[in-house]
Amino acid sequence: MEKPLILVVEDEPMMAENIAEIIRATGRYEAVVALSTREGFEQLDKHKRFLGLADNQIKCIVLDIKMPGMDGLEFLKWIRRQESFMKLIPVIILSGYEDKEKWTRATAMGKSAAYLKKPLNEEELTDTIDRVFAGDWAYMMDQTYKKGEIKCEELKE
Amino acid sequence: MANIETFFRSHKIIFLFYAVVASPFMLVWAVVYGLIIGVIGPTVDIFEIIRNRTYQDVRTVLKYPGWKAEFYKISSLKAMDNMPEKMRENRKAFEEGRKKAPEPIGYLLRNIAAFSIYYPAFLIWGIITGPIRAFAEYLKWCYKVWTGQWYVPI
Repeated sequence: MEKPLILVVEDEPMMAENIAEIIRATGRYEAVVALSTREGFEQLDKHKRFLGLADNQIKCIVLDIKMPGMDGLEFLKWIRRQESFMKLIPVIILSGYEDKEKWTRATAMGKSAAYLKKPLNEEELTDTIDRVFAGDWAYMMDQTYKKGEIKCEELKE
Repeated sequence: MANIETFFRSHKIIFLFYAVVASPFMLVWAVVYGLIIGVIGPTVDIFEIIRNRTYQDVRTVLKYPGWKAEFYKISSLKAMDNMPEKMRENRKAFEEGRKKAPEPIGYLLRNIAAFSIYYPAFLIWGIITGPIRAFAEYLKWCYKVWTGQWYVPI
């Protein structure tokens, strides 16, 4: 059986490859790298199934928020606009963001599976991906909500 | 494929001639291929949606208390505004007995019932857009050969 494919959208090549390596090292998933949101769109288009009439081959996206040009949030908005509510690709957001407005916007969008803070914790990443593929949305929604609340509180201080 | 693309990219006049001559044949191919994919695509899709949703629901209902599982089921990930408020309301409804979470088998039946409704619409949509999508793929390939870049709708 084919391994589930994960798209890593990250503008720093070293970081992107590092994440992809962590994902591949699990032996359970395959990863493709996009160094910009444009490349991200290309990868999504290349991995369409049945001309886009069925689920994409990419089953999860690891997305950096801060990127030159179109940022991660805009990218997320674009792909969500094209998806039906029944088949959202889970998105794991990576962020080192300290900007209150962007963070609040990211959590308020509520469209992602998880938010992971940079610097990246390898275990946390693989654990989150495992949960995505195990279909444990409930846990992740809880965690995402809690993390968002904590972060907003931190930023208020 | 990449070799043909490289050849065409360096001989654009030949590519232009090829694209014009091939277009009617590609149109016929797009109609046939698009219709087949238009039927298979939505069928596979709806089957996968039901399978994945049920797996997710059963896992959730086995792991979390009913009120919470039911909340996760009804709350779309796309619209999570007022999440704490919705969660409180839902919890109250469960505690007061106004709502009850179904058994795992109930989720399967509910998902089949809920998503099968969409199947005819998906199928019609697939049959209509299949040929268009197939021909669009050919046009995208032409764009890629001509510009060297994948077409991205932004």
